[in-house]
Amino acid sequence: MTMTVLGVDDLGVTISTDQGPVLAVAGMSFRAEQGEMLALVGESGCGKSMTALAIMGLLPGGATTRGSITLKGRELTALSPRQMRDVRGREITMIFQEPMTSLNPAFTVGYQVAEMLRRHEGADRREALRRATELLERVGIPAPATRVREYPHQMSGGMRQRVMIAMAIACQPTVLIADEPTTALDVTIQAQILDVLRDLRDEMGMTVVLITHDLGLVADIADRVEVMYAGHRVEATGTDALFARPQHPYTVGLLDAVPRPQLRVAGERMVLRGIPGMVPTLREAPSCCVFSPRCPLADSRCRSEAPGWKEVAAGHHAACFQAGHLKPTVLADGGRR
Amino acid sequence: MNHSEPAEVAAPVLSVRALTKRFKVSRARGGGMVHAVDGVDLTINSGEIVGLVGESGSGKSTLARCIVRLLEPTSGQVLLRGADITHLSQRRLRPVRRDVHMVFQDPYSSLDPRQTVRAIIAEPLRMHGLARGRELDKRVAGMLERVGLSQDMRDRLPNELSGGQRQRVGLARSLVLEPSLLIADEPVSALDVSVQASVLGLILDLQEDMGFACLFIAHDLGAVEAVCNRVAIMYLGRIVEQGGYEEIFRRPKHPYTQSLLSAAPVPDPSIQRSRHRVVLAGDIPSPIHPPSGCRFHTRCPVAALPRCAAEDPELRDVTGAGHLAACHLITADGTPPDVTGELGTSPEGLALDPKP
Repeated sequence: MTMTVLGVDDLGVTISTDQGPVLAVAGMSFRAEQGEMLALVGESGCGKSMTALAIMGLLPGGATTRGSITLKGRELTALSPRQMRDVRGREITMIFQEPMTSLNPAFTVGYQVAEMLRRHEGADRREALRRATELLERVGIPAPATRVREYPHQMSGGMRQRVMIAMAIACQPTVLIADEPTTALDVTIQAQILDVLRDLRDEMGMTVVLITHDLGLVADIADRVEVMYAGHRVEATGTDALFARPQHPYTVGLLDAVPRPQLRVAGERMVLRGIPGMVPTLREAPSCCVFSPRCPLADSRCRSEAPGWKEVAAGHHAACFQAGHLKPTVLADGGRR
Repeated sequence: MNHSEPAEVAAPVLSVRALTKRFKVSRARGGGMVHAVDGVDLTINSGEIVGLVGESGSGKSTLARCIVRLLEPTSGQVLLRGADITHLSQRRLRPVRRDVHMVFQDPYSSLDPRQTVRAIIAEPLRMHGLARGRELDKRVAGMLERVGLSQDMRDRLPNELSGGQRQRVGLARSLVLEPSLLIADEPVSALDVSVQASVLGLILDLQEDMGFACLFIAHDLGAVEAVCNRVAIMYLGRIVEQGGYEEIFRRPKHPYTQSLLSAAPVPDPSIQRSRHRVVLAGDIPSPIHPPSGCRFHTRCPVAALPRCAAEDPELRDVTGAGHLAACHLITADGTPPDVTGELGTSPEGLALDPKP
């Protein structure tokens, strides 16, 4: 029996820039179930981080939102800033790409982890520090009793990210949002951090929303995937189905763009295919398919009408007129310029 | 390839011999020396793309900067087409600079924001006094076309371009003098996935077209395997393994290479989730105090011999066919240690996908 923990409905985020308002998220909806590892996938500018910040109530100044965000049925958009501060860090927490800029360089890591427990659970100083040490141990930091007194600059990138995770799980949150948690790390360290996240999810039954552009990471760890493009969700399904039977041309293009050197034939030049064109910046909701300017399959209908969200198989949705009868091979041939 | 197969007599485009670069650490920071690059030998033949792979701190960028003499090597030699350029004065280096060019990782900071695309691409030609006036325009136009940018991009400024377009401008600038060696330091890692493939494809097209040799520095193993002819793996300032791309990726010998390949996720859940992954413990050690013996022994999942901690392994040909590795555990007949327990399970070795 699954239970929806996090529900996002028709979320819209408009941010203000020097060039006027930009529609960063245009009607995003998704649900994350208890204990699920849900990936939001997309390239820079697709709105995945803005979606996360909207959930956290941490949007930059001048941003406006619409739609609904619920945590275990409780509407978060209706909360006062003070009420939201109690939710943030206790029920929903977030870790970021670059742990150095997210930690305060002037305080020891132990103090910063302990602060979570003092702020949210009213633990006294000693008790909080003792539990902080346990948390550091839990995320795999060796010699936690010593490291707890160190400052962020004394630690490596991987260790700092572990500290961030320790802070994030200190109050046993319901939802952990991980925004590109391993992008800044080397591949061997990336594997370590993924193992930590996976173990914690299994032990604590936490829901993890993983924001990433790395399809390798998605293949490795996600249960379900939401693919985003230009502020819209374009496809959503289980991880296996996404890789085996993608139904949106953007997803196909993204999968195609990852080099598959195993298919390289000795003595021949490798075929590498990117997606031509670039991600549009939206000023207002478009009246066509957002991907149509770059889509090899787009026809006049795609350019005049926005495709609806359609179910192509059980639990597999895509926003494309051709979804359901899209064959990756057809696209590869027909889409070659 | 324009150039004919490299003749045995012709000197390689680049040969690096026992190159070492150390940096002093100020006394305030504890003193000592950073052993950034430590005795590296590397050869690149005409028309070859050689991949240089390693984690941050492995010394790959320092090596590249020593090759182009943006840094002065502490010892060792850099030979460009047989000529020793290690100790040339900046003035005598100038003609050499025509022949070696570099593309950088960040296409945002490596282009002058106040110069137009045309001025950026024309600058090397002007600096070396190779073209002016109409000839200059013609060369710039030709280069724009080669890198797949339309002619009306000529008068744009870098901030009007996307990341992919900027990297194309960077490539055009580096190749406009038709160098014999291109050093590409993480050329696609700052770009979006859908753009990376286009730029990698462009590098391959240009290489085929112009025939330059290329040192391709990257941490993305997929990209390296897709474009390189040969690959060198670096760890803490040393090359620990080197060979043809198929050898390195399908039949890795060094435990570090095996761990690296094992740790990189494969973008296919059915394969990725059935693999036995090796997760290396700990961080890459400090290059100020590199470990004794084999530098990898502190993290090596199979280091067993007392020799591993005591004796520095030599980079030797372990197959008799040019596959070099530095590990005591590789036996005389070239049998490597196996960190994943999967090496022997298929004739393809660590090949990661099912048969097509």
